[in-house]
Amino acid sequence: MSFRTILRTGDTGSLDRGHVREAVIRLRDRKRAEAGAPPSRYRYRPGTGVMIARERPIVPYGTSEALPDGGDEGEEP
Amino acid sequence: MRRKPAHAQEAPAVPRRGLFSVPAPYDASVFINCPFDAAYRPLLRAIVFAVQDCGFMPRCALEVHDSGEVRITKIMRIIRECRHGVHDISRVELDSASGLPRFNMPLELGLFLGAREYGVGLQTQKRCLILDQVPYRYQVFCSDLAGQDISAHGGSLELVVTAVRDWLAAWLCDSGVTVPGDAHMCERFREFSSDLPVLCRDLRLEPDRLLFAELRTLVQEWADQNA
Repeated sequence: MSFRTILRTGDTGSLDRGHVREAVIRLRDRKRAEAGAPPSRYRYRPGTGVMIARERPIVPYGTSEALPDGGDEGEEP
Repeated sequence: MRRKPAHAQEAPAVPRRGLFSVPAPYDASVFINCPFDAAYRPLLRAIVFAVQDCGFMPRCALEVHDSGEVRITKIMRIIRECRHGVHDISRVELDSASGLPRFNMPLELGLFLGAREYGVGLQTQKRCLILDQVPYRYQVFCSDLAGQDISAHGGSLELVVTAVRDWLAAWLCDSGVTVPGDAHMCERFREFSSDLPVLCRDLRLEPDRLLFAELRTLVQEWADQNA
């Protein structure tokens, strides 16, 4: 995908949103890590470098504990 | 807080020619009429940020670079596609190069007010915010506006954010949508301003040479990911 493309959902040429979104998320997560806050729910899809949104942890009704995240998808390549 | 309000109706305008032309909804579009020089750039960023953070689509004459479209035709088209308009008429100083004042902002304000007065349908529902640097100064250089309520920002970024936020929030309240207060929005704008150089470095952009469309995209993504 080229860095600069026609915006898909607007009526003007602009930056590619995917690149911008990844840059914003990287910066946000770095700042959160520096501040000791939990990282975002966004991770890289393994092997592709594509940002994906990881689902919220599943919390059984009536408990405060999240079920363990069993899959390895979402880890940074 | 809703970033992309569903209160917006479909744009009545004819879609622009070209690939992927999808005009923003009329109710959600805010026409920004202000100076575009380097000195004003921080204030333009503040306006764009406040408009976006309230869930609206900032638009201005700089959003399209198309030598095939006559400039005044482009401006009139954008005005027609926007329900809201922010007009900063504070640039009354003489241009250092020509020694003459700039009349673009009052002209575009006149087009906007004319569309509301003489237009039909949704055009008559246009609403605008007029900004100046100094209170009541406009009564001297543009006395026909003496009956309007005009907000003075004094060149302050916080006052610009607050003025735009309050103006859009007042309209949103009628739709049952609330937005955070001005102190919160000003804090977010300060955070965005400190993030912008880092983001630009990451994206190999120059912060002082951002196109309007690039600035808008950066603001939109930043606001979405830092909601």
